[in-house]
Amino acid sequence: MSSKMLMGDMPELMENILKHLNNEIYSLYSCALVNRHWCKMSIPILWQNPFSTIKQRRSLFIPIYFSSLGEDEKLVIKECLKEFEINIEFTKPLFDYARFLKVLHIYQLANKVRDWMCLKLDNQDLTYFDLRTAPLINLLFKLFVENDGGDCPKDFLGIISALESQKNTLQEVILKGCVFSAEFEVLNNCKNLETLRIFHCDKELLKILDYNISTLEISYSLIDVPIIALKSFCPNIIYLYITNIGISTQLLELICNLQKLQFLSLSYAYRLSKKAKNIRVMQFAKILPSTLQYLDIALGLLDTLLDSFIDILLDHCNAPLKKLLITSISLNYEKNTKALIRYCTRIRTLNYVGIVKYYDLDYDIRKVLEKYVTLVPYKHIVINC
Amino acid sequence: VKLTSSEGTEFIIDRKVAEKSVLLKNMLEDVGESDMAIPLPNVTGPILNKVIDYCTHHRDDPFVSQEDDSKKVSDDIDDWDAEFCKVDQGTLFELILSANYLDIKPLLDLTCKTVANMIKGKTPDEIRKTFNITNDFTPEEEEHVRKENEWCEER
Repeated sequence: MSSKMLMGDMPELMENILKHLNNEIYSLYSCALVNRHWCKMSIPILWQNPFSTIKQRRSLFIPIYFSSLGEDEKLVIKECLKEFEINIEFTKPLFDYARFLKVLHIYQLANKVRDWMCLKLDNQDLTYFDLRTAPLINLLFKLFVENDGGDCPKDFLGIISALESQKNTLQEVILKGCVFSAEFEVLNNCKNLETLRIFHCDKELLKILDYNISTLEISYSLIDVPIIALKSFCPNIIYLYITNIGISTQLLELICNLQKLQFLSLSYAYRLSKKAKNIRVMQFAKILPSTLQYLDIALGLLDTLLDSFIDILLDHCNAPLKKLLITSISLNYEKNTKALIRYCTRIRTLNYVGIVKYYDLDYDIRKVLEKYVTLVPYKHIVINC
Repeated sequence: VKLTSSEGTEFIIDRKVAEKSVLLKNMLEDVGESDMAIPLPNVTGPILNKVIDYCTHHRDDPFVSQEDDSKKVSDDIDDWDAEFCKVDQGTLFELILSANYLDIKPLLDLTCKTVANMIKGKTPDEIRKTFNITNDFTPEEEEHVRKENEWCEER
């Protein structure tokens, strides 16, 4: 007899199980085909973030969204596609799939529409952004942001204001290559916004950060990330990823304030004298919070890597790390290998060390370290934040 | 702290171990010092024994607050936890129910993740066989679900 939990009793527990498969599209797809109840439980998770998929065939969800549009809008879609000699028939979808979308990848939307059209035409030659496809993209925007009144936005900036209607549900925003505009302040009203990823953007965008954010990634922005701006909203951050940052006293002060921090990735870019670095690394190690379980210091330029001071870091670190990500270069130094062993025996929580250039690690050193901790290639450790 | 399982078996455990359960922690804070056993009518003795094993092993782990969603954890289970979860399916589902009732989030996440791993990579038919589930789709419904989700078909 199967567990009642899988038959409809206590659906919140089944949802909890299926949430652990949120990156496993194929497995969730299998779940959707098990029976009616499993279908009802897994489809909302499967359709949370379809834009994150890479393979071209995985653009086949686009016409399903078209099917959810109103009759007039479907006519617009048909007319638009006729220009490309694509004929499409709509059937009533089983679910209101747009309702399940949790991550709106604005940048990927146009890409996925184009991918789907290329697939239909068996042709890779469509221009990157053909103006004739604008109605398709705009109508999908409208579907996602439930912009019932007024005209559909005509450009990406208009979309940001339209997100006002999603303020109670929006959980994650990814901004790439954006300049600051007052329009982004609408995101301050999104009370459930948990995750913000800012890539290649104007640092002014940090102004929109809110107290509730738990995941923050700042990458390839101007080198001088204004740490002071981060301090005002920081208490709830669980995952922090910053590239191009020095171990300044402001950074130390920031990390000191992150009492819920579990995952930290830093790519270090500033050069300090060796003596100054020693002191800062020691201070950095000491202030790491007791909630921290993941530390990635393997990113960054070779001659500015923080992990070349791994011995100082580990000897002064009391955080109960479960995963540490470093480079094989630093581990090939005996002083660092010994420090890692000391850390493993002193703290006893470390179970994985992810290593950049894993195969460059000296064989004898690997054998010694493997008595204390599991060594894996850097890419094998994934955080799903 | 004294606990009584559904059959009336009594267990005596350290307060620190009991406090891994948010339910027990709140009860103990409300009641204060007392010799009275706390009845747990929804948990059988063997399951309570397993839960105590888990809480004892993890007694010194930092407390994970409620808002830290399960999605935030990385993709592995450590050796002790993996061994702990090597139980029959019935016990595993009982552990999920108990972890939920006692409000022990790390145990709930661990057991749910173990079931998720049993699903991972399987075909619909293999999942049905694993959990003894009946397919109640009509052929048309099944085809409709398949068609609308064909974008997931590539492994």
